[in-house]
Amino acid sequence: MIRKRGFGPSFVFNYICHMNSNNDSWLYFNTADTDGNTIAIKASSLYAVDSTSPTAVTLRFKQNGVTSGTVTDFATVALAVTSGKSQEVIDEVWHVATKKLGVFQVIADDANGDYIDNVTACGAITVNV
Amino acid sequence: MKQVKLNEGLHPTTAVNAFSATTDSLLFIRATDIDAGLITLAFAEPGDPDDTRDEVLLASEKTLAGCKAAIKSLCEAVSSNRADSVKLSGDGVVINNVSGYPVSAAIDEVTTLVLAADGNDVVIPWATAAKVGLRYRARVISYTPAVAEDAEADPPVAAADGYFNEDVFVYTDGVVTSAVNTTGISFAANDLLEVFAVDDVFAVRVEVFSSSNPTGIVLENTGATDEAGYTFTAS
Repeated sequence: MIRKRGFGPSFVFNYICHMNSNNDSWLYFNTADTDGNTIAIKASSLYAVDSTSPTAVTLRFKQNGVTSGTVTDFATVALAVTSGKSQEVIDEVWHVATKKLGVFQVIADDANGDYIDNVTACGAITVNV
Repeated sequence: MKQVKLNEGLHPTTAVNAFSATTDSLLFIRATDIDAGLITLAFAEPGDPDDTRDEVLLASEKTLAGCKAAIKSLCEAVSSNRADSVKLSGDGVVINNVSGYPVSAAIDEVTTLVLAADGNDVVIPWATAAKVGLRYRARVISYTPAVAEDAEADPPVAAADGYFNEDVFVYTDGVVTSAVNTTGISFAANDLLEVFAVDDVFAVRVEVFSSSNPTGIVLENTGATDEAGYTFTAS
């Protein structure tokens, strides 16, 4: 059998996957015009999104490679959400964080009133390192 | 994953302050001082999950919007697919909205510049021990003569502000080695002036900057004290 040389569909697929794996997305938050409250966190470090009340969601970030033992958050970000829409916000956060929609994704920006759907404000940004 | 490189971009005669890490270890990029335009890149500290190695760069615009723009540009640079490594500061590096290492902010604490008499070095003292290790580049950018008739036969013409702006002075690179005032930036007398003797000069402007922060910061005098020294402040 004679095999044609060239770039087949599998090569293109693998090439695209390789390119994307090297392309981290960043999640942007701003809660006030004060020092430390404007931050971009690498999306791949997001490991939990927790509904802490009907109107609040907390995003938790950990260092990559921590796979056992007690997970220590290096950062948490609280979001105020429309009452009853916690699940929608959780789904949207994961969608934005994992689908590589772009390098720089605004999740909640109080200064510019820019939010993903059903987020009404950015709450406390806590960095633990 | 790729390599992230940072370098102050100066050419000190001693060790170069450089740092590199993988993109995996870069945890977040945060505006830590909006008024000063300070953007902190926090990397995982090797062997210590509760600590970070922080590298600070300067936003071009010292506002919240400027800090956001700088953060976005850094995110895009770090996540670019174009190479196996990315350099965020140093010679020839241009990152939109980012001015490189914050040398100008670091010398905001410089309060005096002493113009010594009779051929001694001009010295910019450094205020705190925290500046030890800081790399810098500096040059004298203008001066005024105390006695006009001491000028050479074809003297330069003073600008409207009274300063002569002569591009005749060599750059000096170096590293702050001590918090003691007399070991700050210094210019040898021969480097300082080509036209006038040092003791004829009563005002000097000095520019301090990094190559990635080309606007720098200008120090100039606020009033002569005596023949041996003049007081300068950051402007």
